[in-house]
Amino acid sequence: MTTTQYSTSQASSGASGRKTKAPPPPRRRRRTVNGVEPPGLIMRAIKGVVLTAACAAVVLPFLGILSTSISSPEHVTRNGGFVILPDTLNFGAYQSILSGGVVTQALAVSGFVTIAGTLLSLFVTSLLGYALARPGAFGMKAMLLLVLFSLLFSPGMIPSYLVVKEVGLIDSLWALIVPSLVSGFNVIVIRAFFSQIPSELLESARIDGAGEWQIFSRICLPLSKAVLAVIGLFYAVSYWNAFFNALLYLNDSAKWPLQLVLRTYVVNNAQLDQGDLSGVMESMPPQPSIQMAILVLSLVPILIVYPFLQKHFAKGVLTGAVKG
Amino acid sequence: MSIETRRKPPSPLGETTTPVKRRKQSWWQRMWRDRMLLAFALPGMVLLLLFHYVALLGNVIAFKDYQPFLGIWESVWTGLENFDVLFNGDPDFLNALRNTLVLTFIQTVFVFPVPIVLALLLNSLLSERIKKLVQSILYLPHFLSWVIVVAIFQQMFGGSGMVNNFLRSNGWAALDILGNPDTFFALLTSQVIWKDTGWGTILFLAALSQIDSSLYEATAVDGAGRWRQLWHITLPGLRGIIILLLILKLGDSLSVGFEQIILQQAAVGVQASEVLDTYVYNNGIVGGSWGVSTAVGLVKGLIGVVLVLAANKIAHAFGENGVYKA
Amino acid sequence: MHEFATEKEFSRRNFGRGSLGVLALAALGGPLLSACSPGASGGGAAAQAKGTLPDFIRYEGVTPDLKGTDLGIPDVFYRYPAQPVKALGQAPGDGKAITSMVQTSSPIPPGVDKNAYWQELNRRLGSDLQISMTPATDYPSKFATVVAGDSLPDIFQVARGANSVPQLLQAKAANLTKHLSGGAIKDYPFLANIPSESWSAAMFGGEIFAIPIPRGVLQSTIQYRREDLLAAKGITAQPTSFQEYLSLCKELSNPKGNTWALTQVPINFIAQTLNVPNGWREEGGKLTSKDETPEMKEALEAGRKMFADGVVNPDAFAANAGQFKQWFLAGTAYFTGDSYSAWPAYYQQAAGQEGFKISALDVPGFDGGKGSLWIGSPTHSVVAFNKGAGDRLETFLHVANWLAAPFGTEEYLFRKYGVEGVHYALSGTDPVPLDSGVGQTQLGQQYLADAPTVLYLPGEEDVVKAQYEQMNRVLPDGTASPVEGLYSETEVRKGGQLEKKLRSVRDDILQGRQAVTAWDDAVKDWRSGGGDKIRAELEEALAASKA
Repeated sequence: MTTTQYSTSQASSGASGRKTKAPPPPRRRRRTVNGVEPPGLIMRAIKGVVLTAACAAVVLPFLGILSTSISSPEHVTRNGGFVILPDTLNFGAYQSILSGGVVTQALAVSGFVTIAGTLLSLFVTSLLGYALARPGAFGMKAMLLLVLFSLLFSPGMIPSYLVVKEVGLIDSLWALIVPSLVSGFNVIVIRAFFSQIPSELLESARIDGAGEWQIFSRICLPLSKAVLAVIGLFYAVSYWNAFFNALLYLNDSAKWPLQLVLRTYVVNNAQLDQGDLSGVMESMPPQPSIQMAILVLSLVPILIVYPFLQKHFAKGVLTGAVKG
Repeated sequence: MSIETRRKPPSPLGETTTPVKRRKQSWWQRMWRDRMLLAFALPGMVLLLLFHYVALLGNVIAFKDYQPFLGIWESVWTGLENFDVLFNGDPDFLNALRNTLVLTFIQTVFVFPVPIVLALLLNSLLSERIKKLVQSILYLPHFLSWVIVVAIFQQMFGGSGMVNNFLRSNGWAALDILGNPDTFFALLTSQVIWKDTGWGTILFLAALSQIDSSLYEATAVDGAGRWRQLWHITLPGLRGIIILLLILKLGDSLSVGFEQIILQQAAVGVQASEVLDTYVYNNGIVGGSWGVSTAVGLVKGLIGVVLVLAANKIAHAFGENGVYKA
Repeated sequence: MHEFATEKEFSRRNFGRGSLGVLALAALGGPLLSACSPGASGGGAAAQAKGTLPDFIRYEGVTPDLKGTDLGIPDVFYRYPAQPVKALGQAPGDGKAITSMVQTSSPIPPGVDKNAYWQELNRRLGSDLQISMTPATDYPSKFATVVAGDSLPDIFQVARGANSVPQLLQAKAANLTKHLSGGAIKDYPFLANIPSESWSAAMFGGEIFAIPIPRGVLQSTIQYRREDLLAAKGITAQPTSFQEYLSLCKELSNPKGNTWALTQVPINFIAQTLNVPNGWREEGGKLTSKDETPEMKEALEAGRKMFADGVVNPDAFAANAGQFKQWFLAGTAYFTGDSYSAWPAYYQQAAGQEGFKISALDVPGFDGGKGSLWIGSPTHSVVAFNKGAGDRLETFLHVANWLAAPFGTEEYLFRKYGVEGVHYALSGTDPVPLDSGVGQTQLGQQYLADAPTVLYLPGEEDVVKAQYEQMNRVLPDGTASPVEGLYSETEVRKGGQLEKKLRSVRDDILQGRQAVTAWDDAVKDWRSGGGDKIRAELEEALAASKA
């Protein structure tokens, strides 16, 4: 049990980086951290350069997105629609977006769909994954193939609409959740992780008289926090980003999620043919600062949520339990 | 616990409980025996059947001249006509197919490993804080749509973008980065790497976190260095998920970057950029031919099934689990 | 291989045609059959059989400052009339909710419960108008699912380029002929105020199945220029030939300063200087596509030269429409192609730029003399009513009539600008939108029914005057499409992809990746791939419309 405590504290403590410099247990011959020898100077230098370059390649454009959103429209226009550094701190774009109440309403919708959808999806997916991780059980092989093939054949837009309509979900927010509750990919991944759990562990629980539900909820889930966090993130992001279902299934734009509202701000920028701007494009696209501002708004919630999930990816959750 | 015992593929969940005399049970008895598991699977399977497979029945329009106002059943049967676009031997189609396969090859060989390497790199960082910071930064581009990514690349690397603007104002020659057919695949590849590498690490990091860290300590006692540990502990710990993702990717190998490519097609021309999906879009779907897109989806799905099942067999032959175990 | 495909195609079309005939029979019964005779000629041509257009009764209640002309040049107003007339006595609604579906190209407005404008609109209409909005690019998808699910609302905008529109409308939309044809339309004075040329797009098989959203000539694409920047360089004259234009562009381009004369290769403008036909050229009932003319090849050669000479922004083929507008506004381009309707919009976006001034090029001949502007479609799209409307159809038409109240009326002022003090403030007699209100008024209601467009930009008399004068200089020599409002099923189904293929070859030529001679092969492919068939169907429709 000691190991569990040790590694959990590693995982959750923000300042653990410093703790790792504590003197190693006396038995080790090499100087190691968690049993791994720290890298040499050259390796560290290479890593530093690679990671710094990678981060710069990402930060720069994002800086541009942020700067464009808070620059004055004149400054943005003078520079062709995109600036790396702002001229002023001008929150006019944000004010204009948030003033009508549409975006706040859409944020609430997206928040609800994402949270409710992710929780339900995780529940259904992990249950299904747990069952499918037992190939010997009745019908599981066939069901696994059905899940697998669902990745390869996707139903068309119109048939999907007809099913959703028959089920009576048109114009309901549940239309954004229920049809996409189960993702075959996530089921297969979670099943693969469940399959890795050492069978001795489950066997001993079974001998102690635990039922399937107890094994699932008391052993499987706690041991799989990392993959649950990842799959949860996958679901959350797909709910957060989805707009097409809303477009088809919701007639009332007051119920639209954020991404669809965002689309009405940027869709006018669609690529058009040389010299042919007739027809669909009747109004000017919104100022670039507004487009970038709404992009920033759509990223903020993700930025806030991510660190909370991130800590579950940290190492060492399984270790102690196996030993214990 | 030694490395060798750990490397044995773990036995599937609850295998030991399967009674030896299983064969003698009738299917009803087996169903009753596994009723809890079936109940577990029920909600997910019902949703999948209803919203995926029932809707999939609608794909019968692959064999019809589908008109929304007539409905699925009233529309006229047209046999295999919708499949023409794939089998008419058009040289443009063959070119698109060739481009698709080349791109799939590039993306499998050069793009697929990048997140793995990055995950290992992140995993080897000693400072949790830096690790989290780097991770939080690198996963951001995943959340930009292709429209935005392409626009950003154009602002940066376009003929009138920042880089070329800088080059020209200093008297150097401008670089044709976005409009050069010869380097288009390199452009696509770098965009994909920029956008999805950080995001792609997440699953591998989760897998790394499942590796028993006592193994590292145990091997360190035996005097194993970093590289030996990487080879004998870390990589084997990732192997299952790597193979799983590779197989799934293989099933999708005829679809490469539709939106990304269609947005940039005019600048480099069709010859260099046409892939299967854009070809079908440009030759069948413009004008709302629902039947054609469905037909192509069916063919791609069938090829995907063959590829996935074959790859899974190969994985089994090497003693791996693959997607499922036989 | 090829012949085989064509033969198959042929037999399939016959099959399809036959069954559509049956459908028309089932759906419409006797009266239409005599007009349509589906057995003989099928969807395309028969659909075009000439019926009685609604009478055009111009609304005379408001006097414009400059009067529009029959060429589709809109009326010009310098001021909003001081005492807007309330043109309609009573609310058109029947107290029951009306559902509708439109596309939108504006950011989405607040829902009705948080939208004072929408609530007031409902009050004035006398019915709750429920509007389902969809971004314009996604509208065809939305439309197709709604049609497939048989859930069309009471009033719906018909998606541009939807398949089998005549059959679709015959199956799903109310026949308006009885209510609107000829003099019957006088019950709906503001629908009667829609010019005749827009109505052909709303008629199928000699019957009226929709009402048009009129746009006059505003959908024509012209070549804008930054007059302020050019004047600063001492350039005021219009180029009088292609050579002159090219030299001017060369003079203006300065790659070191990240400036190019043009946002895009102005291929359509060049074609117009060469008098390439607007889509098709008609001679004695025979049609020639613009792409088949030798002049088109000359235009391609000239366009190729322009791009090679480095007078076009090098990202012309990589950037999107929003960026072109940004370059033009930023002054890193002197010329850009855009529609007439963008003229005032540029001024609105350039607010804050001191002395910002734009105008448009007249169309010179390639070697001097005159070219001919391609006049855009007079109709934006059409709006139809649910076949199941029954007794309520007249209510819906009255609502559409109310929504089409023309400029100068009180209804128009409210429809476009909202309520004074809430959505706009008055500057003199002109409404100035308030920031707090502007988001509420964009309901897409202009796609349910609309009045003919006018030129009006408050406080910018010179701007609208300049636009009006340019129109009067250029449009008399312009060419309208001879196939405007004519329907070809093959065009709807395959026209888009054929066009796309031609364009990709064209872009290759313009960027120097293929020789101009590649155009011949591309046109040959276009003809065999369906171009000839489109031609035949359009010729048939043309003949029918003249019969």
